[in-house]
Amino acid sequence: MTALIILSLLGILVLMMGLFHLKNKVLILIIPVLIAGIFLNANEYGLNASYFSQMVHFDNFAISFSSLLILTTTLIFGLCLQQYKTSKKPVEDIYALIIFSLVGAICMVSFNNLIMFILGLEIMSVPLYVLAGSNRENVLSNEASLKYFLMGAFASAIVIFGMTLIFGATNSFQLDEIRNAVSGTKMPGVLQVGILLFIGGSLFKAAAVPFHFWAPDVYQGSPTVITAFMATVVKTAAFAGLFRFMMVAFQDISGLWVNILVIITIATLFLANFSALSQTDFKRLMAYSGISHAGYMLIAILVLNMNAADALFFYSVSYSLATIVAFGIFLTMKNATGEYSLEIFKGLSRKNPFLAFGLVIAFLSLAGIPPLAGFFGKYFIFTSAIKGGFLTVVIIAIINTMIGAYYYLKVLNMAFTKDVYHSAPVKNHLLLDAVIVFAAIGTLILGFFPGLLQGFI
Amino acid sequence: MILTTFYILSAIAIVCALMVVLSKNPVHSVLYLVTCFFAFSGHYILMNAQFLAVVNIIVYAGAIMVLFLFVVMMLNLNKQNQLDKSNVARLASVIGAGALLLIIVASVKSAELDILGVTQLGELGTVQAIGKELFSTYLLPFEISSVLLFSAIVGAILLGKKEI
Repeated sequence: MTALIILSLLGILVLMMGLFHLKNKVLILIIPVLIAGIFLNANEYGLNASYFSQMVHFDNFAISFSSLLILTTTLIFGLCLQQYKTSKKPVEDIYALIIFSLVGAICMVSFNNLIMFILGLEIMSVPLYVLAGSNRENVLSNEASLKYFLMGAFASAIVIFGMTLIFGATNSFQLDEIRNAVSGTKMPGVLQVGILLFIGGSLFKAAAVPFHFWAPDVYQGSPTVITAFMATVVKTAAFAGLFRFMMVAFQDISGLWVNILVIITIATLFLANFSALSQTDFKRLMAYSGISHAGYMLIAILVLNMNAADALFFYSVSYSLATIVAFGIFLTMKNATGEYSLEIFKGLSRKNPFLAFGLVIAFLSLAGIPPLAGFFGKYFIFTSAIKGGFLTVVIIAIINTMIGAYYYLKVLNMAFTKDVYHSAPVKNHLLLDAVIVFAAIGTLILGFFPGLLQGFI
Repeated sequence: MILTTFYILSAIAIVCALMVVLSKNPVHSVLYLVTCFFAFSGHYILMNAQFLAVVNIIVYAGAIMVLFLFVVMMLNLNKQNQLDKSNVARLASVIGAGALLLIIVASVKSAELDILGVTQLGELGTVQAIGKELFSTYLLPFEISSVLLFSAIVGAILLGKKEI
């Protein structure tokens, strides 16, 4: 709860800093406050407290995930300096919107009342619609913003419609009261439709098939740091929110929706991995990679027990860290060459061994190769799924992991065996390097000591 | 009496909603939408939610729809410059929307009214009752929605401001 208040105030403060034309110096304020926010948030671990007539409930699940969200945002602010250092326009409003979006994401993982969920979803989305189009000279950015806004508004409407049907069936927005209401014998048909509409709308934000069509275009058009934010914070928040809702309210009646989620999971895995094979643009590749990771995270929602919650948390951490490393390296290379294609990584090992090493860690972790964090993320999810009785889904997911390894290794192959593509000098930035080093070391440590994050939730 | 009013209002709402989609002229669409909102307000009054009815008229039928009308008129959308959709896309959307309609109608039909919790709302819809709820039980959503509105304002300025 403290983090929620601090971050809301920080957003307003950052916006007011625009008065002094500090530009990127405002990061000196933002990053320490966010780090303080992580510690203050982690301080509430184990308190299990509800606030404001049980509108939000900061149990260990909420605390863990909101700490992860704040950490991810802090790392993304580290990338912001590289993106906006030459910007002549003020950047404070962009930074403030990122912080507001984070506030929404925290509401989404800590809600105990569906009103808070939908408010969190909207607070997270509305700044993102704007941020996607914040590069106004770029036509692709404008297109991304419009596309994201129209489809996102539609998805929100579907979530709200689902919520009203759930309310109609259970007469409450409060999660525990919904749980009590559905555990009775009578199950009205509107409840099932409501749950399905709710899942559909939430999966839109997480970009799972068949609600993924926006993702490649929006990821490609948005400014790179915003893409990184969407790929990590938004995806984590959407999954954590959906998991929390299903876990608390509908665990007892999983028969109503589990078959549909199985189909969605399998479709997501296959479609994303096969589409990713032919991508040549880095951001589109990351979009399809993100969709495929949504497929793995969906398995945790299928299983829906405390084991799966732990696995989902570990997976989110490993996925966020690796994605941030990848985007950080891409940002450096893009600023040096001015291009977006995968070709810019050619010959990276000779040009800049440091970045090449970071790329190896990030992509091997995303591909799920031991002993990196990504491998254990997948391992925990798969073991919890096998215990939960979803052996077929796990086998399909393992096949997809192998398909996925191809396109990750293809990029690494470019970086290590091909000739140098572009001779432009690569300027390393201290803050960006720090972010890459931190996230890469995090990935390594979690790979060697995966027990560190076990049993957190 | 209430039932007759309900059927009349529902008929108006459904016909107007259909006309919003079917009419060729976008200005007509917006006007039908305004009528549709008035019919909804009538429903709210039937359910004893006076505050919601008035707010619906002031905010939606009043402010937002007038804004909408201005935008439609300024963009001059009257010209027939819509892109033709392919027949496959049309067929797919008809099937998809039809299936959704079928499912929703079937589920609502099978729902029993007592489960839906339709009770006499009594004093629940008055300004006083809503104000009490808003500032006690729903205080946090009420406050946090200011973050939503604030970020929407900041976003509008960010997209709309002139280059400095």
